[in-house]
Amino acid sequence: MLTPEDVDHDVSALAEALLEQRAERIAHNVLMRSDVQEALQQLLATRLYANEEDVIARSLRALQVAVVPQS
Amino acid sequence: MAVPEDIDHITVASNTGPLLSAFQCGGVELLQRYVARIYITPAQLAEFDKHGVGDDIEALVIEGFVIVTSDLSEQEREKAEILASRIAAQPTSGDPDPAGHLPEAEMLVIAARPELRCRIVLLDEKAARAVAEEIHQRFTGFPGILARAGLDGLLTKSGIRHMLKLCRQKGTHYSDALIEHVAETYGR
Repeated sequence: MLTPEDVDHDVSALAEALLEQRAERIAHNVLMRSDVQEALQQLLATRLYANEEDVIARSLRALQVAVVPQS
Repeated sequence: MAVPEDIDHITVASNTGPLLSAFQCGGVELLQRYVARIYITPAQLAEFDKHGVGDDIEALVIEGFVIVTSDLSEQEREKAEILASRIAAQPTSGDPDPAGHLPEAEMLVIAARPELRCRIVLLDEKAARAVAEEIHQRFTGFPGILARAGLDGLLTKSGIRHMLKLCRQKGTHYSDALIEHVAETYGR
């Protein structure tokens, strides 16, 4: 018989699966945009970033500092 | 009932138990808020029939929500037999005969088919869950779906309590402790 702890595990596992699906959808939609592809290539060419993920993560951080400076 | 708009729908494989619980408490619609399609094995059709929900499953198959996979290949069958033995050997297994665990073992095997892109399996049976963990197969159970719906504001504490008790009245073993925990921890 399932225990309360089993359900806690199940909630986390389901959240992980749903997040994975969401991440895949967002990554697909963003990376399929030609303007995003172009920006990524330009930024990668500067050799300031390790890879595409690094470009996206650091660009978001820069945007956050610009738009929400108190964060 | 508020419907979260940003929820993505996942593809899953399901053992008989969680779908049966969904039928027992009228929770199929709730399942459809998170799940795009459910794969089941051909052998499970007989199990649903045995539990008196053959027509309900057939309706979901026609709708395209439930998809019955192709038969297992010889290699998959061998894998399923090994997994069934491992499930039978679990301390929580109530049946030492591997044959009794073939349905959930077969479901675990088809969930691993890469072309199906199953994100998670729906599985309520303790011994099979232990083996799923050993093979690194992500799993959740029907109460976990209700709990998530509660977190998303779709179900109240009393709604969760009512649904799990309905399942219990119709033969699914959920303890009082589990029902209260899910309702109180996750209900709106």
